[in-house]
Amino acid sequence: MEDEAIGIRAFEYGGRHPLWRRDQRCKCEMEDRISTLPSNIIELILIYLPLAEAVRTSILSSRWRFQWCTIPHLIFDNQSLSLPVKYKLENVVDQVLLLHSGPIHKFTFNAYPGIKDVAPVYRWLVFLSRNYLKELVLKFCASRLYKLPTALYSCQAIVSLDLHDCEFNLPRSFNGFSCLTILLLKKISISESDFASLISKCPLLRKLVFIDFYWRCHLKLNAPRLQELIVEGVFSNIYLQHTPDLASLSLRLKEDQEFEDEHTESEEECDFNKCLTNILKIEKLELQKHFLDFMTRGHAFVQFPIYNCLKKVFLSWFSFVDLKHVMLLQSLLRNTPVLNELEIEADSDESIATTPTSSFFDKKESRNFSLDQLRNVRLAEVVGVRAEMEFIEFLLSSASRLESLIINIKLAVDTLGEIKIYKEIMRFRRASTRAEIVILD
Amino acid sequence: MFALCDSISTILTFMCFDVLSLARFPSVRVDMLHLMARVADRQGCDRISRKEMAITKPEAMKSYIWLQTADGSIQQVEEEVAMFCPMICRERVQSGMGSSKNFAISLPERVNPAILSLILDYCRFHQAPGRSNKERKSFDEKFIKTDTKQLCELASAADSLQLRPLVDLTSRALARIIEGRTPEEIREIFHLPDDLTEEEKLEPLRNATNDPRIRLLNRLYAKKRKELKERQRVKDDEAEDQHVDERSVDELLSFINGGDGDSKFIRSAKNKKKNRRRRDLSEEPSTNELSNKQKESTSYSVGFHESGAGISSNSARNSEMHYDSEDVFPGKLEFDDDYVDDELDPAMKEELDREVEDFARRLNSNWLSLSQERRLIPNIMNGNGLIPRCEDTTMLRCCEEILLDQRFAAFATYSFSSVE
Repeated sequence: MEDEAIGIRAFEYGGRHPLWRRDQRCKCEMEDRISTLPSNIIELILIYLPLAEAVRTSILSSRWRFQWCTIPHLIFDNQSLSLPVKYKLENVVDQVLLLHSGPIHKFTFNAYPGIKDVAPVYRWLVFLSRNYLKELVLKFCASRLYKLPTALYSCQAIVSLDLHDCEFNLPRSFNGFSCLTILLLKKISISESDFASLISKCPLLRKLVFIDFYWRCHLKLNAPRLQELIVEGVFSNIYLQHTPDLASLSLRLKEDQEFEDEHTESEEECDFNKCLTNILKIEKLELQKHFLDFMTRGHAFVQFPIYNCLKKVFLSWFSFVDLKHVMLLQSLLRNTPVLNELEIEADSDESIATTPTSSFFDKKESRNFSLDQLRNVRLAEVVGVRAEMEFIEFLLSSASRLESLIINIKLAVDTLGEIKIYKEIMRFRRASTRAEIVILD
Repeated sequence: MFALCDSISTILTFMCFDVLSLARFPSVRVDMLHLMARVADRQGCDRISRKEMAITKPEAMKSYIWLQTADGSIQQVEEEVAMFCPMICRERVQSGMGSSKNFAISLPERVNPAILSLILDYCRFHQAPGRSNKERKSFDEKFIKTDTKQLCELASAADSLQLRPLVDLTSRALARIIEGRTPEEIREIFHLPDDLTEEEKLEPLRNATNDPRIRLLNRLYAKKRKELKERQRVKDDEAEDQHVDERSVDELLSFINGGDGDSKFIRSAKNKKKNRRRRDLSEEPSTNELSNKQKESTSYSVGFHESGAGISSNSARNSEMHYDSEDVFPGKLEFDDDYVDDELDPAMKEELDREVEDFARRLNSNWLSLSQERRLIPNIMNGNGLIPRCEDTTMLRCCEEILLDQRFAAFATYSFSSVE
């Protein structure tokens, strides 16, 4: 267009018109800057664009026609592709894979709800397994579990796997993923033995997130390099067989189980309480929902070993009126010299108190606790029972470097009860001059 | 001077002198420090020694590095600022340049003085340890609020200096500029020439289902492919013939020896070809293109079997090809013309659709196995070194290959059934 316009003007004005000459000069200055960038920068730019936009660059100019074909990250989800209804996502993925060339390091397929036909995923996985796939994210929807094809197990270069709503059936010849470091599984159906086998055959596994699984398993974890573990769901027991480097542990048991008093021998061996000594390097510990009940079932009290690195603890559904919970907390506080942050979500229902727990935190005992490093404490769902008040008193008097204490009072507590709590807290002695007490509703 | 340094450093290493203790002397000069860095390197603790020296250097003595840009101008920069760039850091430590005006570190040509000063601003801000994340973020936001020309220059300069955070930052900014704009706007911003034909623009990834426009475009594309193929064929005529002859001989032989079903027939033929090719490999194949074609076809056969299509569909296709052999067969040259034919009665239409799908699938399996071989790990299959460069020609060769296969398969079924 520009050429034509200039040409016409040149013709009209005999080629000498200053306007024409100025246009020529301007044209020289307007160089194409971006296409001369080195290819790795162009690749980076295309990676940072949503996939649809990146593919659209193919009509910009001849240099850009096939630039997008080599981007190593292919992300198909609602953000990167906003398709009008008549185009099916599977067909688009087929086309893109067909035109792509080169290694594909990251593939994300986030199936929009209502996807009817998941059969194409098989042929994509076959294709990807030949293209040095490193990161895979597959998210289906909950209506029907997707059975993972064996092609997945031949992706030997895989470093990160994120799977939602799938079903694992490990083949007998499964040799593990030798490079896998991150494994995120959500709403997965996998048998106990398959799970144990999967974990133990991935020697470099560093982070494992396992949420909402379909069978009530007894989980066994043998992962020498594991550093971060998050398990949420319904499991019958969890046994950390060999996880010496574990730094962050978060366990959330979602269902209240009927615990039998008689355990079989093998269950005793593989109990979580027995493997507390296997996680000596732990730095962050979160025990949530029914897990505390699970830990404190049976007759013996839970004893924690000394954790020299534990800095952050979060306990939820902790009942201050339950003797066993309180003993657990005491044992924990006694054995964590560098504890920095403590967060407790209380669940103190006096009506179901098992044993009176008065004065468990009396001042003579407090000398045994070394809470010197404790900086931030947060207590939620406080109702104001005696035991809770005593705990707060204990904290304030023994944490000499406490910086902030945040208390959330449970909504059900009426104003009178709240005022009572304020009055009591104001009276407590504070060992730390910098302590700031914040009461939120 | 450097020779002297060298000998001194060897002596010091030999004496197992503890270099770090030297660094604490306040009167140590910059070039002596560099010498110590080299010795420390040899002692095997480079990073630690550099850091230590940075810490223990007295406050009053700020050291400078000399940098020279491509246009010849030399400037002096504080050492810790310049050392933020990995490339400068490496030059300094490994080759010892930059300690004086005569031995300035020469920067890559993409770094001109204006850009260099911007980059040094960036380094100066970010290398200071006491900044919060928020401060850094807001600095970055302000830093990239320039015009696109400068962003591109910054990106390429940062890339040549291997300053990865800045590369990421500028690339993200450029991506944000491109995102959400129409192609005309993008061309306007970056001054890209609009040099694609209309049909090339329309070609792309649209859903090839029932849209008649799509089919028209596919036909046009097929026409274009045909043209390219014609040109290819003119070039590769001899190798072509040779290839065809060889295979037909092979086939006839195995045919004479007695294959049972047409599918097994084909499979055994292909396996024989594979075996023969493996033997050939050790004997150095005659022409590169020949072995290329064989490689393609074997990988095609492998890919084909792998892609789950199975033997059954193969035989199914053979039978339908046998059915159509009268139409499809006489001249593969005309294959595409059928495709271009405008009168499409429903049966032919369906046939063509299926052909398109098959073609796409085969192209996929062939294409991806090719690209895999082309990319990295030396396969056993990849005997020779010559791999076709141009994407178009390889694609064409795939097309040819597949068509040859088809013709051959049709011939085989035809001859087999005729014998029976």
